[in-house]
Order: sequence, then C-alpha cells, then structure tokens
Amino acid sequence: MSIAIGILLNGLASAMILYIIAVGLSVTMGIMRFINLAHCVFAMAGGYLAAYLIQGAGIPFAFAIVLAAILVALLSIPIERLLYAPLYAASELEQALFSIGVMFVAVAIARYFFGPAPLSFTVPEALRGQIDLGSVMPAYRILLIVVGFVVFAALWTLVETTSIGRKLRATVENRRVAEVVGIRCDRLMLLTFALGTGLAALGGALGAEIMPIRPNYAFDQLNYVLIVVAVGGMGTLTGPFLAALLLGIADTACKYFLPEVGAFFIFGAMVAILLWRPQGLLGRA
Amino acid sequence: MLGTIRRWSIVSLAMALCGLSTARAEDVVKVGMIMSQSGPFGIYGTYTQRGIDMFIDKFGDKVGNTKIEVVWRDEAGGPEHSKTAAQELIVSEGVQFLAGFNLTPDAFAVAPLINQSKTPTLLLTAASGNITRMSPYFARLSFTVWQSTYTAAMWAPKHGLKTAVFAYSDFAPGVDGLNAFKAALPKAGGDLIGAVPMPLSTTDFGAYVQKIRDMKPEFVFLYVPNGPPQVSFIKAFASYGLPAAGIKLIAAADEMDLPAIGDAGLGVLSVWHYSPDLPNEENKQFVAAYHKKYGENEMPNFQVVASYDAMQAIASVIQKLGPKFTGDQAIDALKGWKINSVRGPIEIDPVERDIIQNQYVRVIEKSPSGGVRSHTLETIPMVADPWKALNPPK
Repeated sequence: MSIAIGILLNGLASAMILYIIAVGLSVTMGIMRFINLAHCVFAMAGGYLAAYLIQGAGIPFAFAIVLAAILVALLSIPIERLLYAPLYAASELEQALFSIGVMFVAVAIARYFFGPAPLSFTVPEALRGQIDLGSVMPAYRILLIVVGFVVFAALWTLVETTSIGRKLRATVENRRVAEVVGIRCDRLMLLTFALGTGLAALGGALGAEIMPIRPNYAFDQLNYVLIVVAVGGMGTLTGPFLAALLLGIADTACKYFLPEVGAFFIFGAMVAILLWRPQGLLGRA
Repeated sequence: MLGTIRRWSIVSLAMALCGLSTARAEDVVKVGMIMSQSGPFGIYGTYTQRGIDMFIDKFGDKVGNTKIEVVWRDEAGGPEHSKTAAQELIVSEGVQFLAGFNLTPDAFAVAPLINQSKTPTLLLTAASGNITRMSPYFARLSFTVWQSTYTAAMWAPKHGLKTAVFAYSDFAPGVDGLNAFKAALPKAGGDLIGAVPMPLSTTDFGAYVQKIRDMKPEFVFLYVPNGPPQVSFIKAFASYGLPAAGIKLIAAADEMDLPAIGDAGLGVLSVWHYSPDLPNEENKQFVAAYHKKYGENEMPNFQVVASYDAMQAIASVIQKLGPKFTGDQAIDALKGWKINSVRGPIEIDPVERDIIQNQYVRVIEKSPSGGVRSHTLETIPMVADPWKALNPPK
C-alpha cells in the first residue's frame, strides 16, 4: 500500500511541474497558433532569475519565485513584440525553425553568463524534511503537488468565470468572429503570452530541484513538455492537466516496477494515445 | 630560349632552397585536444583547459626550444564527429598527439584512425577498460570503471556494508560498472540484492530512489556520470530520507559537483583516484596555486589533474625524443612512464598502457568555510585496472 501511495505522490509531484510549464505552451499554441518550441527557455529564465534573487539579493524563497515569474512575464512582452509578432503570418515550419533558433541562442547566452554547470538551487531549511503520508516523501514534493493544484484551480477560475476568460475562450474558438464582436485579440494574445511565459518561469523556478537549471535546459525538458501538450490537446487548460497526471503517475509506476524499460513508457503511451485521438485527449477535433 | 629555362631553373631552385631552410627560432609540437566544450558535458572542457593552464604556469609552454601547442576541437556531436575532427587534426594541423575523449564511444571511433596514422592518443576522461586494447596507440591518464568500482566493492563488506543495490545509468560504462561490482562483491563477502538501471537522460530520480529505499539495502553504489545526474541523484537520495533510514551511499562524488550537492552529500562515501585534501607535497602546492588562480572557493578535480598530468607526459616525451619523433617512439616512451603526480604516484602500465594509481576512500564532510568538502579516509595503493587482469588478451 505504501508503494502505491509513494508512486502516486511521486508521479503527482513531477506531473505538477510539467503541468505548470506545459499549460502556458498549450494556451499560447492554442490561442496564438504559434509553434513556440522555445517555451522552456522562459522556464529556464525563471530558474536563473529566482536563483539570483535568492542567492544574490537575499529575497526569501517564496517571494523570489513569484517575483521571478512576474519579471519573466513582463520581460516577455517586449520579446513577443520584437521577435514573435513579425512571424505570426509565417508558416508553421518557419515558426518552428525560428523558435529552435531562439533555443540555441538562449543556450549560448545562458552558458556565457552562468557557465555550463547546473545551478545549485537550495530549498529553504523548512522545506527539506520528509512528510509521512503512508509513504515517506520529501516535503518539497508535497508542496509542488499543492501548488500545481492551486495553479490549475486558479487558471480554471480565470478562464471559466471571468470576462477576460470568456474573451480568451472566444478567441481560441474563432478569432475572426471574436474580433468582429469587439474583442481586442492582439492585446489578449499579448496578455496570454505573458501569462504563459510567467507560468513557465514559475514552473522552472519551482522545479529547479528536480529539473536542474542549466544552459541546455530548454532542450532537456522540451520532449516532456511537448508530449504533455500533444497528449492533452492544444488550447485547453484541463487537457495538459489530465495528460500530466496520467503520464506522470504511469511513468513513475513503470520506472518503479520495470526500471529497464520504465522510462520508455511515456513515449509508447504518447504514440498510442495520439493514434487513437490525434487532437489529444481534450483537444478540439 | 635555353637561357630563359636556365634562369627559371636557378630561380626555382633558389626558392626551393629557401623553403628547405630550417633556421627557425623554435619547433612546435601540436597536440590535438578532442574534448567536450559544449552540450551537457561542456564543463569538462573548462576543467581540461585549466589543467593545461596550470601546467603552463608551472612549467611554461616550452620544452627546451620546443613549444607545445594545444589545438582544440569540440567533442560534442557524437563518435562520427570525433572521428572527423581527429582526421582533420592529424592531416591538416599535423598534430603529433591526440588527447581528451570525454566519452568512450568517441575514443572507440578514432581507434582505426590512430592505428593508421600512428598517433599517440592520451585518454583524459573516458573510462571503459577495453579502450586501451582497441589500439596500441592509446595511453590512459584518467581512470577506469573497474579501478574504482571493483575497489569499492572489495572495500565495503570489510567495513560493515554487506548488502548492496547497484544504481547505474543505463549505458556502456554503467553496465561495465555493474559487471565490476558483481565480480568483486561476492569475493569480499557481500551480497548484491538488486540492480536499478536508469536512463542516461534522467533528471528526476525520485521514482528510482523510492524503489531503492523499499529494497532496504545496507548501501547503494551509484554509477552515473559526474555532473547533473550525480547531483540530482544524491539530492534525491537525501530528500527521500534514505540516510536517515540507515542506507549508505557510495558514489563518485567529485569536487566539480560538491557545490551543487551541498549538505545533501554529507556522509556520502566515494572510492576515487583524486582528492584535494591529499597530503603529498605536489598536491599541496597544486591546490594552493589553483586557489590563487581561480579563487578560494574553487577546488581542483580529477579532470584538471588528468589534463595537468597529460601535459607532463607529453613534455616528458618531447624531453626524451626532441620535437620530431614517430608515433611508435612516443608510445614506447610513455610505456612505464611514472611520476609523483598531484594524485599520488602514477604509472602508465608498460604492457596495457593503462593507468596505475592509488584509490582513495573518501567521505563528504562539512567544510569550515561553509559548504562541503571531501575527506580522505583510506588509501589503497597502486591499483591497476582489475578488468585487464581478469580478462587477459586472447
């Protein structure tokens, strides 16, 4: 029983980090129809910024992470205007190639400023203990699970109940009609991009213990983030959540029981699910 | 018409003679360095360069009238890329030595090449035992998987650690390490209760650490590459409460990772061929010079030392043979080469051309200046690669 609880909790913890990073990509891909493979660069930026705020400026852990997310979100606005906006009319291939180029540039910049070694990220003393919930788990991972659910709940509330959320859904559904009705789609997309990158930065900073921040980060995590978005379905909030849960827990279970092949389950599952439903679990057909 | 031909013949002969002139100020021996400068193992390139710089600081970059020039090529890009780089270095740059090789497959790839060109090749990181058997022109300055893993497996049961789980990255050196461990542990009275293979690209070791905890061994031997995998595993090991549950960890925690590992590494043991706290005079001077050059918080590590020793080996060949020598002469000069290195006495095995060096049992403890550091508990002298002894050439 403790094994099952352990697998569940472990799976949830890694799933939540992936979810927080991936949900931004799902929404920006869905609403902007822009293939932004460089999404994880913002997660990496969040990690580096949070580390600087904690170690360099002495800001307390929780504040530093939230501040890093907000700063990355703000910084992403000029980046979106200067780098991404000119390519909205371009083909998907061009967008994908461009974002891969951004990834390479980001890797080089990160290595130049921070060196090739991974960041040493220390979680505050209070969070370093273990909690026994039927299986002994690091307290920090339990925190990640809680934050993941809170983010999901907050996003869901934003999209389903607020007027901005309604406008967002309208734009995802049919942009032309949304514009006709008077929704400022340009501004909305900018806001969404900032939100998406801010979430990525939050995920990157929170997950720094488990997914080490280093120049190659964007490439390290791209696979998993794309799988979560593809399996969940682009443009939705719940899709990536479901996909992350499913894949995270099953991935952990397979690693536990079949370590030799456990890590390949996630790719097999992706192929199987996409063959069955190419638009993802909750994506629009 | 004959006058013109004669005039041109004299001019061309004169030009040719000028070209043949050997009245140069210095000779140059070029060393082709194929080592990771980018990608996940890019840090190895930085440390390798530091070893070279430390050598130049101490000995200068000349041996007599001969300058040693290191020409770099980034190893990142796979075995085919390494082979192309080696070819270019040998043919276009005219290197007389090759050095480096972070990863075993890259070393394998150049074996047929160096056999043809007879280029002595110094292995600075790659650790598979059989590399030196792939070509008579390989000599190793780094370490082998079996050297440290076999030694650890022989040591642990004598110190109260009998039941073990072997956790390793699922790639050739990891499997090699498992074989070394399996060969040695029963001989020392230990018992291997399980092996946990983990994909090389793993960054989150939570699931594996949980599994190991549920297997309840007395100790875990970790074989993953230095760098992020090492750091992440050791941190996960601590955060899942395994040290508190009484499970010991033997890893190859090297100085390059200690700052990132931090307090999570306290109590972690290692069996390794270098430690900055070694008391020999060469090391004391080296560490002091390193601090002066790179800062008080920087510690030399096995990669810096391997590179430093390689430069000394190359210098000794040039000292013995001068700037012009054949590959066969160079490799013969390296066989049996011994010095009192920073890491203790080392020797290049005259038959296998592999490195014979001390193994040090170390533990990670708190450092008085904050952070953590290695403390040497025990020295196991002059260990040759056990795999070679157990697998004589056919």
